Amino acid sequence: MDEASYPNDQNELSADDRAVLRAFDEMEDREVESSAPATSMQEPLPQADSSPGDMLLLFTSEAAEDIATMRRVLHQLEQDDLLDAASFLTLQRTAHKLKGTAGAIGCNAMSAIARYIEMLIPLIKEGPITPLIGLDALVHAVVALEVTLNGLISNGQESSTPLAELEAEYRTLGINSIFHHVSPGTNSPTRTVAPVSEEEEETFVHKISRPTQEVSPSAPLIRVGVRRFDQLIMHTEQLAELRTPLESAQAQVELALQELHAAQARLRHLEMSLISAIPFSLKTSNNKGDMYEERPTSTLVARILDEAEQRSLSKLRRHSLKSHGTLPWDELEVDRFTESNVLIHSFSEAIADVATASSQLRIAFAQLNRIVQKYMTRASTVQNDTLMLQLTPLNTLLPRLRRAVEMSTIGQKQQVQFETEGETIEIDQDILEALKHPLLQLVRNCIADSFLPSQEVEQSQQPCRTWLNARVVGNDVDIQLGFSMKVRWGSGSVDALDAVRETMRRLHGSISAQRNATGGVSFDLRFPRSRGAVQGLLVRAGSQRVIVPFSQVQRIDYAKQEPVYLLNELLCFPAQQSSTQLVRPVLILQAGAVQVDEILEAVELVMKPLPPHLYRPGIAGTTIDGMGNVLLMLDLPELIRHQKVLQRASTVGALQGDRKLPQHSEQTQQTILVADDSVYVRQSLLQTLSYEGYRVMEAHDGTEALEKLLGSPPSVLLLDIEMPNLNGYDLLSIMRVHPELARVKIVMLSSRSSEKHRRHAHELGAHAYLIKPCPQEILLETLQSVLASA
Amino acid sequence: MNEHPTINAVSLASLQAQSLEQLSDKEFWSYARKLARLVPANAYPEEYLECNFSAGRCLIPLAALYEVAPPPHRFALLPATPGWMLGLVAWLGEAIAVVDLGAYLFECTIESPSEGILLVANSVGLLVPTIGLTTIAQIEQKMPLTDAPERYTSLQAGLVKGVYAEALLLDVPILLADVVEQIRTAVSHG
Repeated sequence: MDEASYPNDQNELSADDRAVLRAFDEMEDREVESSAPATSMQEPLPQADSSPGDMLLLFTSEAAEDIATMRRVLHQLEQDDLLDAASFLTLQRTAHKLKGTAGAIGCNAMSAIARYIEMLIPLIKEGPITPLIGLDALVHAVVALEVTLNGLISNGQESSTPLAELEAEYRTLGINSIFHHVSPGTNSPTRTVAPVSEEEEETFVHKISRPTQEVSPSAPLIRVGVRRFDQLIMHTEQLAELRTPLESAQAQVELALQELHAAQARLRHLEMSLISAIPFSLKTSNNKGDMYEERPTSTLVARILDEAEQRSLSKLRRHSLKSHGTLPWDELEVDRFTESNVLIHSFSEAIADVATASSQLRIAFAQLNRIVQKYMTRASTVQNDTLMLQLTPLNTLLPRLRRAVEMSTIGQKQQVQFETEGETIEIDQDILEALKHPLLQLVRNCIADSFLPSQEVEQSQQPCRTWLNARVVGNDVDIQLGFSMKVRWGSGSVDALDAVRETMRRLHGSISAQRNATGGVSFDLRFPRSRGAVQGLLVRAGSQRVIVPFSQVQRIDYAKQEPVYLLNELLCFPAQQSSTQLVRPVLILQAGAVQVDEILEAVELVMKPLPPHLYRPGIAGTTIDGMGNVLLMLDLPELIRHQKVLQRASTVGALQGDRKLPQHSEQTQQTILVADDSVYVRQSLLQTLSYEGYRVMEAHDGTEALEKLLGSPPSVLLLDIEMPNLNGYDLLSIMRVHPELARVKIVMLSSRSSEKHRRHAHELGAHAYLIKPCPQEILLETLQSVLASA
Repeated sequence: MNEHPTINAVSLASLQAQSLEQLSDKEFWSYARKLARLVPANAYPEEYLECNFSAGRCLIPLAALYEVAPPPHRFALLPATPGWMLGLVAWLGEAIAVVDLGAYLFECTIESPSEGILLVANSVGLLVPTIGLTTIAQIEQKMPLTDAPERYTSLQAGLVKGVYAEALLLDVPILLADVVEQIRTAVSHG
């Protein structure tokens, strides 16, 4: 490898290291590198006799340092949200160096492992391997290096077992074959794609203990460009979206066919009437005028008659001319037809032709329906299979969570068990990637904030437990993350929970927390495990039609349930007059029971996220039906939770009602700007203050707060200290140079409780200082107090 | 390829004859974009679409509109929205908010939404009862809002650039920003 490909950085290796690198680069240039993995389980070091013991000692010492460096860098990479290029560079250079030294000393297994690390890094940076899987693969490699080195030190010879195990692990992760497919200089990002499984996914599995759609470790993999893959996903989604318009078009054709049949029936009836009205008798052409007068009013019949008349009139005329002036007598007694008879006959024939055509149309339409049905089934399979390509097992995330538990303070002081279930469940790579950091932060912060009361520590001989249980429910995955320890909710834990909540919202999932049987806390996360069509119930709420995903509904009941929420009320839709339907269906959920006006049908539609200004609690997104109508996709558990919050606020308000009513009218004039980077804090303040009659504006960082302050100065600024872009103190300093903001009252609301922070805030112009979590009464009293001092 | 193409007809014809077919798709579209940018933005005077309400008239710059469409058959209601937001409709496969512009500006609700005209501007639909002709406003002849007829004076000043021939010249970007902000914050007031 050319050293120039590793630019200088802050983690620059020493001059000695660089000299070693150069030497090995030269060696590589001279000889074709053999990177085949070791085949024997135990290999004596080649040329052991010729390698002085101090050389081996020197190598093991250096290798240990290199491995420690790689471990440190990896630890840093795991902590950071973003992949740091400099850290990767250090890792790559260290691995390159170790590969060379190990190869030179005859430690082929260590050299091969180091080579894997070196090869992995560009693949992670450029995209073929996702960071989540890549970091896991790197950690495995470093562990394999450590084990190999320890074996070398203990036994004096290198074992290739860790390398073999590593390669087996890489096959499981599906990255082994990527090494063989990557050619030097390839920059095209690719994504690991698993082969298509032939088995259909089982739905409504309550306990998954087997791998679902697990990729065989030995199955070959192919490389696919990310752009092309995303395009494929988009096209399959569009294909799925065509399902509803097709069904709609089919329904319209069916309706038209029914109308055609009805028209045929009317024609047949008319034919019979005509036959009975005009007796089969010989008439002269003098009756023509009468016939025209009796012509049916139907334009269709009239047209048929006209056409028949055109065809038959000339013949009749000729016949009439011949027989003119003579009696209609035929010695052969052959029937002679009048114009009316011929017209009726033609009319009957035309009706028969229409009936034949109609039958043929019906048969063709039935055939078309069968083909369309097959086509839609196939399209659905293609879409599902395409989405399957994105799936990766949950266990790619677990090692990091396990390490976070083990590396925690409490984990190092005493034994903390990390138990998992359902780790083979496969989840969309992008979804897992989005969840990785928030979940890791939640685990870290909850463990950091956890505690056991002293008497419990004394009494309990059981180790602390942390668990992650996953199961598949329809298209969703349900994850329970539990801690047997009590959690003291510090700002870190609250922020981490906010981050997970926000991620769940983006993923159209939900999160709830509750005390578990061990006295600790458990979080239940439910989210779709792949991006695709959502199956649900199309239900009616008043005049509106909305969709409830199947995964939210446990069962449907028609009996009275208590307490029951009315969907129309949950959605705040206008009340409708009661329909004739007396018994209305009730959707039974885990969170409660919701009565709907009508269940229309089961549907499968692609959900689209709402733009931010249209976000509403309990509305997960929208879909568009075949008629081009927008349908809301509901998150009923969230809708119920939101309703409960409103009801609680309403109850509190009713208790305080008389005393506070006069103040509302004054407070409606007061605007409060809440500047806090925590969504949770902003939302709870927004609800509290809105209910109290204040107009509330929000800012998620200092910069946005400053823009809003200058745009429309509020009465009060409720300000957090630690915020991105511009912190609370900086904002206060800037406000002081804007005289137009002098009238804005400033109330600090921070988790920083020390006196120095309080003093500093007051020095910068804050009027009051509150500490999170702040009781509602104190907050409201403080606001009233600062406003009264204006 | 010439980095600074001109629109000289002769040279363009020559270039077309000799070079265009040799360009790759990417080069071709890059060239086309450069040509397109050569047209000055102010080459054409700004045209306005006249919208009529029972309480007044307004002019909306045509350049701000993406589409003038027939009214939707059905709106999907969204919880906790301002009174002037009629609901959501699908536009180019996405859900967009539809605003009763008359209700928003003058508090005069549209009588029959199914008979209005939908003006789509930057992912917000503005429903108006009727539209008139397009007009080229002589911007120097516009009056400030303060000199406008009394029925307009209660309007928020920022939304209106001025008054031209007794019609409000709307500042669409500001109007849309205000609409979006009010829809966003309605959830906390609602």
